[in-house]
Formats: sequence, C-alpha cells, structure tokens
Amino acid sequence: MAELKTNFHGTWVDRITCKQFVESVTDYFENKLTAVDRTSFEAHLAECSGCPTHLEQMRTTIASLGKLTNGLPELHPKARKELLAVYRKWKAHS
Amino acid sequence: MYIGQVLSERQSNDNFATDPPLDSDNQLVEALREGDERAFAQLLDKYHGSMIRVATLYCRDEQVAEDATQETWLAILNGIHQFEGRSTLKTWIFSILSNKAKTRGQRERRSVPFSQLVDLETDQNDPALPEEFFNSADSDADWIGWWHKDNHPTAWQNIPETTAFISEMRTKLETALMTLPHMQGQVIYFRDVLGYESQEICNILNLSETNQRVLLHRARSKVRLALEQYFNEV
Repeated sequence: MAELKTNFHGTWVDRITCKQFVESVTDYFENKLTAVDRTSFEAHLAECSGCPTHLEQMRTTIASLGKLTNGLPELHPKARKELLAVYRKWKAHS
Repeated sequence: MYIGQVLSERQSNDNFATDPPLDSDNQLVEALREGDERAFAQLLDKYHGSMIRVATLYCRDEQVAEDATQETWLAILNGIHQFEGRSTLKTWIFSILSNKAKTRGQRERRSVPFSQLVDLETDQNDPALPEEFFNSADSDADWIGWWHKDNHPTAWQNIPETTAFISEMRTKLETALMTLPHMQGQVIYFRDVLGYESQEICNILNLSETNQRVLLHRARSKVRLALEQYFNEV
C-alpha cells in the first residue's frame, strides 16, 4: 500500500492518489482548494510522472476551447434585417 | 417595401458599424428603451452568435435553437422597461435564453425536467475519468488509485500548426461539446469558450457554485479525453 504521508519541502503532508489529483484539477485552477489540500496536490505533482502531463493537457484543453469564439456563427444579414424590423415594430407600439 | 427603402436601410445598417459603440449597460438599456436602433443592432451583433451556440447545446437542434433565440429577443424587448439592472445585461439576456431553450428543448424532446438534469449530471458516481484508468486492488494493490500502466498520460506531441489541422481540431472540440450532457455543455461553453465568470454562470443557469464547478470539471475532463483520443490517432 502506498504511504499515506509524503515529504514536501520538509513537511509531511497527506499523500493523494492520481485519481484524487485528477478530480481536483478544476478546484485547483479555480483556487478552491484549502491550503492543506493545495499542498497535497502540489506534493503529488512533484512526485508523480503522469499527473503533470494530465494537468498540462487540461490547460491545453481550456486554451483550445477559448479559441472557438473565432468561429461563432455570424448573424445572417436577412435574419439581422428581420430582427431590426421587429425592433422597429416594437418601437412603434411601445 | 420599395427597393429604395431596402437600400437606404442597408446603408443605415452599415453605418452602425462605424458609430462608436454604447459602452455601458445603462447606456444600452436607455438607448433601447428610447427606440435607438443602433443599440439593438449592437446587441444583435455582440450576442446573437453565442446565443445560438448556447441554445444549440441545450436543444441539440439548430432550428429549435434559432427559434429559442428569436423568442429571447422578443422577450428582451418586452421586458426591457422592467429591467432593473440587478444583474448585468449580459446575465439577464442569457438567463432569458436559458429559460426559452429549456422550454423549447423539453417540448421537442419530451426529456427529463431541468431540475433533474442538474442532479443527474452532478451525481457522485460519475468520475472525471473511467475507473479503469487507475489501479485497482486487482491490477496493483500497492498503488491503488494511481495511473494504470496502460493509461498513463503521455504528452501530446507534434501538434501541427497547419490550417487543416486547426480546423479539424475545432470540429473535434465542437463535436465533443455537443456530446456532453446538457448542463455540462452549457457550463463549459460559458466558462471556457466565452470566458464568463463562475458567478455569472451560476446566475444565468441558476446553479449553486459547487454544482457549477462539478459540472465544469466533468465537462473539461471529457473534452480532454476526446482530444486525447484524437491525438492518439493523429
């Protein structure tokens, strides 16, 4: 069985598993981990060979999603005209 | 309508682009109430595209999403005099959209009600990654919960920067978003695609902060997995 504590910068902290690490990534990004959990998270990052890659890929995923705004559907000129006509009608009645 | 009228309208439409934009919510709301077409055009250009996407994530059908978005614009006009500025204009617009999309989506799909969707999608028994990614007592009793050797993450290398690849990756991402459970899809779209603050998303979708974060995390994990499968094939 893996040890329950690990030494991180000279302090013994709770050792978490990769599974627990993977579940905490968004909380880590959003700064929602407690100080204790954050230390365990960072200690795991320092001693695991797979999780740094996983974390980096989560960052890449988020960054790639951020680029999708470049391709938002444009409002079709005909639909735009119709909506503006709706606005005019609304204006006339209000 | 006369041709001349159409042309002059088109010209006036084009002029909107060169006018300085109305910056604050207050300015926009005031202008809308007073009947300033420029304000409405500005909102259309700013939000219509992302509204269609958000509605599609919920309704799963572009035509239904278009209808929900049209309905939203009408509701905005009908409600603008009552808008009190308790939330931002953006939050208000997207909450109306979210309600319209829910109603539409449920009518078309006869699916589970919204309240149950959140429960279903934040259920405890839905790990970010499938169980087999990690060691169990059967695979390696010394390292339970650590990466299984067959699923150890490997770096995504040689990601080409070619136009063809970028457009393919975009398609993969969009497909991945569309296959997410409804609430997860909307939360990740607001947060990671549109860059909204968590609090705004909670207000728009009427979610608790914790549920919002759980939905976001599961969505991100699934999209990462879809990208991983894609990179493994490249």
